[in-house]
Amino acid sequence: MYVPQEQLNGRVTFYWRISRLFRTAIVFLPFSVGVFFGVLAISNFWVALTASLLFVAHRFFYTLIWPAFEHIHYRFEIREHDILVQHGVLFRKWSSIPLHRIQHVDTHQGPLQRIVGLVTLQIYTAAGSTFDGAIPGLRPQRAQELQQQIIQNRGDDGV
Amino acid sequence: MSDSTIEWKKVHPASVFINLVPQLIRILRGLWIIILVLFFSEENQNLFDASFFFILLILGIYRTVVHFLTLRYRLVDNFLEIKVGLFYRQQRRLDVARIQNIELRQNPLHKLFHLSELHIETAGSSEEGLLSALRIEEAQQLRVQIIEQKEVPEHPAQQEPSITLGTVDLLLYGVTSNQVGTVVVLSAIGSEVLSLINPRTAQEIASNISLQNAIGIILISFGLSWLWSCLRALLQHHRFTLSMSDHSLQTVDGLITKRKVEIPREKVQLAMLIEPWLRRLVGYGTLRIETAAFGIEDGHIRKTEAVIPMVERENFSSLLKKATPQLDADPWNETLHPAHPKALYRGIARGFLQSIIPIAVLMFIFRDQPYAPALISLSVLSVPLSILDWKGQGWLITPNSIVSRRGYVNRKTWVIDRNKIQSIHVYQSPFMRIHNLAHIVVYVAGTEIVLPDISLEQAHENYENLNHQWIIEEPKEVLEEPKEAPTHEVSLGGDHTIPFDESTIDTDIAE
Repeated sequence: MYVPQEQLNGRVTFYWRISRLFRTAIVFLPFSVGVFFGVLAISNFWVALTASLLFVAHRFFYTLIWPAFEHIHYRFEIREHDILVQHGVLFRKWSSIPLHRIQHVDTHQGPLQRIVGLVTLQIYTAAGSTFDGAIPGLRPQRAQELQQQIIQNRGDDGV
Repeated sequence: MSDSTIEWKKVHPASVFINLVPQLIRILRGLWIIILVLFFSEENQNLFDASFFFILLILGIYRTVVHFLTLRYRLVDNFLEIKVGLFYRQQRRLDVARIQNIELRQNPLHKLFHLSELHIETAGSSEEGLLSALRIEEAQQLRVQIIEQKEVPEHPAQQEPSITLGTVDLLLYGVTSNQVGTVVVLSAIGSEVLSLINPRTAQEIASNISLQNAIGIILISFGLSWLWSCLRALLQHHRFTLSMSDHSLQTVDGLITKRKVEIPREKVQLAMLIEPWLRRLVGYGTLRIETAAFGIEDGHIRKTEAVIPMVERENFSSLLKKATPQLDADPWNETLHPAHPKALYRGIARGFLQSIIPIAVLMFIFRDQPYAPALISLSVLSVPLSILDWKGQGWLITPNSIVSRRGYVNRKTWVIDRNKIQSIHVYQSPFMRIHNLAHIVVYVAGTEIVLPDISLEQAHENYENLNHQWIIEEPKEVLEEPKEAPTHEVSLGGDHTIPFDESTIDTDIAE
């Protein structure tokens, strides 16, 4: 099956790691303490400790190691008639969005992304209130280029 | 090419006040779960009230101030560009031709400051409060500039009714609806409410219910729910009529609120035929037609669906063809591709899991009964149902349409026109990966069609085939390039030659 050519900017793994680290610190570490006490209520100390350590380990794996895999599997390409986006390691998704159906293309940049210098491109068709395709990890200039390139194409809405 | 010397315009400062209330409402809507939880927790009621609303107000003001300070818009070269956001920055370039509806909206606060909101809707989405407070003249000017590109929608011609449903038909419709879920939920809620109100009575009742009484109660609940759905059917679809013309479909029904739904044929996105097993037994089905936001009609965008409650089986194909004329497949007389054999494992597993919840509820209700644990064996019933579900599954892709069918107890057949496709996705979860299966999801405006449980190779083959369609289907502005330059010139009697005419190629479409 055809693999789209372009990959995301390498910085995106850094961004993913940092943003997940934040969420781990704020949400998941307290949560793991909760898991510890929760399991402790049903079972003994060592089981509870193992459970919460496993939980933390899994979370760190997801934060530090997983982004590398996700980066490998995130690919996109703007072809002559459509945009292909493919992503996902466990939950894989291949998307094709015809250029002439695109309603608008948004660039989205959270504060952390701004620090790292990346931008997410969100592609909307008439299909719904959420985007049909998203390309994170783009340099702002590249995102602008892509945005211009995509939106030039016109066609009927198919509505 | 965008002219970057056109300057960005801003929203009026009064927007901070004008937007405050709508913004607060939006925040509240997002926080409804937290509000519910806080509402039900007993301690510190007064404290929570004051500080909670204070925080809410601060949040609201922050958002409206950020909105005012950061929103920039401009109209450049037939594109509307809008930028907004401080921490979460968003930038949109909207092709003016995509805008389906644009209107000026004023609330009393707007009028006070001589402002107006410019409300823009594209097919499939409507942005709330983006250009929320512009000076009236600016808003009007912008609207005029944008609207110069609009096409006026055609007005449908008159038509005569082709299907009418009487009371008997509607009663049959009500009786054949599936009501199992409602019964279980209602019983569960009922029993819990009872035990909350008067625990001792509840205990007595529960311990005194013998098996026969339990069955009796369940049957009565079913009876009541059927009665209820009959009443609803009569109310909603009283005096149903369907009329069809060359351009559109029209349905009229309703007792207390009379509803008139008019759908231009070319706006139909998806047609769905629903056959609950009882209704199938008596030879009927329900046709549902979905569209997305379409056009300007009395200044409103409308997302509409039309429901034809009772269609006879012989008429399925012909009615479907009339509703979606491009249809080139007959889901009832053609064989659909069946679901992949390996999908059966997932189907059975899923059936088991789905049966656990109603069984758990039943076991909870009858927890004091000696036969309660045995209720688990009811989950075995899910297996034949899952097998029937799997057998009934099917899909079909033809040059003009895509068909998908699922379900046994509630059989549904979806049909879309390939010209309406917005985007195509192939999706594979790790559980599907085990069996090398995937789902295909095709989006149309406002809804989607799913082709589940296909082998990965087949899914990708279909994906490529559907993609190929974009290449064949050129947008209207691009003229066909001559396939081959005539290398010889034909002379017909006189001196006519057919030269290669370069002026027919339009070269400035792609920039």
